[in-house]
Formats: sequence, structure tokens, C-alpha cells
Amino acid sequence: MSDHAPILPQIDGERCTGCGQCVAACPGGALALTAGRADLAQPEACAYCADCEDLCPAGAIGLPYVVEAETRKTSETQSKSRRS
Amino acid sequence: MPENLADFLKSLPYFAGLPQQAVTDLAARARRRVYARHELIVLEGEPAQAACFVVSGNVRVFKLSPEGRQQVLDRLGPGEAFNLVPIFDGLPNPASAEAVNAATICLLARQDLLAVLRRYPSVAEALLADFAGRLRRLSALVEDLSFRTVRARLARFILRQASAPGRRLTQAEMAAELGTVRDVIGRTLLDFQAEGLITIDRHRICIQDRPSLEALAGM
Repeated sequence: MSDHAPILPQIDGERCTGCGQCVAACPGGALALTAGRADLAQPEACAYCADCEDLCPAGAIGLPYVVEAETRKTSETQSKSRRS
Repeated sequence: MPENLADFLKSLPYFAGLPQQAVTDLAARARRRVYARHELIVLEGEPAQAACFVVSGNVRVFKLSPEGRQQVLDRLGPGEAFNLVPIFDGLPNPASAEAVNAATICLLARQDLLAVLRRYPSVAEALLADFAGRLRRLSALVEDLSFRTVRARLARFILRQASAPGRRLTQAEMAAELGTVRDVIGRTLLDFQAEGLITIDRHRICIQDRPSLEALAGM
């Protein structure tokens, strides 16, 4: 996956069975069934809640994460609290 | 991607010391295969066909439990090798390997690799150094799985990932690397957030309390 591509839920079309549970569960209506397979039809509506990933019986949906070091604000806050 | 297999093999540390003709001869015996995302390259337990070298793309080496849980042993990129063990002991593939994304693999048959290794000691030296590195990594994995709780392993993982930013992993992929299941990773991440160790904002896991995470990781 390109590092510059937007980070969105990944749907494996080969694993998806088209059961539609994710579509029904998605609180934002971001998912739809297209050609019998789950599709992130409205990515802007995705709240990244992971309900779809939790529900999918085929393990066809995965939400990627990136780990970031603490922000400078967080580091400064911790440094101040240690000095006081 | 290198234009021909001879250039590719020459670029590898295993064959960098070989005369050009030897590389050319080896390349003539090698095969190049393209694998689609998630396509299986090597299956654990099957008779070994060849040593594999990643030309492009990424490969995941793993073992599967009888229940289907995956434990990742290694993640490889261009220029790295896998399935070398059967070359030396003649036994079946010790693990499986699949393409993480579309991958091109250079395959060298056992007899061809052994022939060049016997003739050129530099190849054996390079392979031994490679094996030593793998042994160290596997020892660290055994230590991690045997002596650390899932919380400690995940804390260590988060700290390691923060120092090498950019890599994207799903919770299922984290679970496969850390010897657990996705649900446990999900619950533990939420616990870490509730404890103030991290924040989770959509796809971003951001460290908030590094000292506590390091203490939890045993670092």
C-alpha cells in the first residue's frame, strides 16, 4: 500500500461472502454491496469505528493503523510535570 | 525492479563476491515468478522446491496453528531470501510464505544453489551471516512469546513502530506478529487508551506516556 494513499478500511473482495452484515452495521452508511461484495461506497462517511471489522464473519475487513510518537505538546507537558 | 536476473543476483550480498560468469550461469538456471497479493508462495510441510529471493514486493513468512491462527515469523522485502533451510537439510518447508502485495520472486533450485556454494566459499559465508541474523530474530521472538504478556508485547510493538513510522497494520496483522488474536489486540489497545498510555484517533495510535509504556514493555 502506498504511504501516500488515504488510510481507509480494507475490504478483501476474495474473502468477502457478500453477507451484508457490515453494510447493515455501519453507523455512517459508508458501506454498500456492489456486485455482491462489500464496498466502501462513501469513504467520507466512514467513522473508523471498526464495527464492520468486528462483525465480518469472513475476516474480510481490516482497518489499518499507524503508530506515531508522542506529539511535541505531549512531550513538553511531560517535561514540565517532571520539573515541577 | 532489476532488468534481468543476473543483475538482481549480483546485487544480493550472497552472490556479490561471485565472478560475473558464475552469476550469469546461476541466473540462467533461476526462475522468476510473479505472485498476486495474498497468493501463497510456499506451503509449510510441502517438499521444498527452491530457495526464494524477493525481487520486488513484500513477503510474510508464517506458521498456522491447527485452529488457523497465524504466527508471523518474518516479513521480507526486496533483496531478502526465504525458504533457505530446506536447501541445507533437504526436509520439507518449515513454514509458509505469502505475498503481502504483488511480489516477484526469484527461485533457485536446491542443486544449483548447493553447487555454487561448494565452489565459492563467499556464498557460504554470506549465507551463514544471514542465518545468524535469523537465529537472533527468532530467539528474540521466542523470548517475547515466552516471557512477556500480551500487554507487554503490544507495548513493545507500539514503541518499536513509533521509531519506524509509516508502516500500516491492521489489528489482525498485529495479532499475527504478537502471537495472539485480533479481539485481544483490540481490547488491549482500548485498555491502553483508558490508562492514558496512548490515544486512538481514527487510524492513528499516538503515544501519550512513553515512560509507562517502556516500563510495561520491560525496556
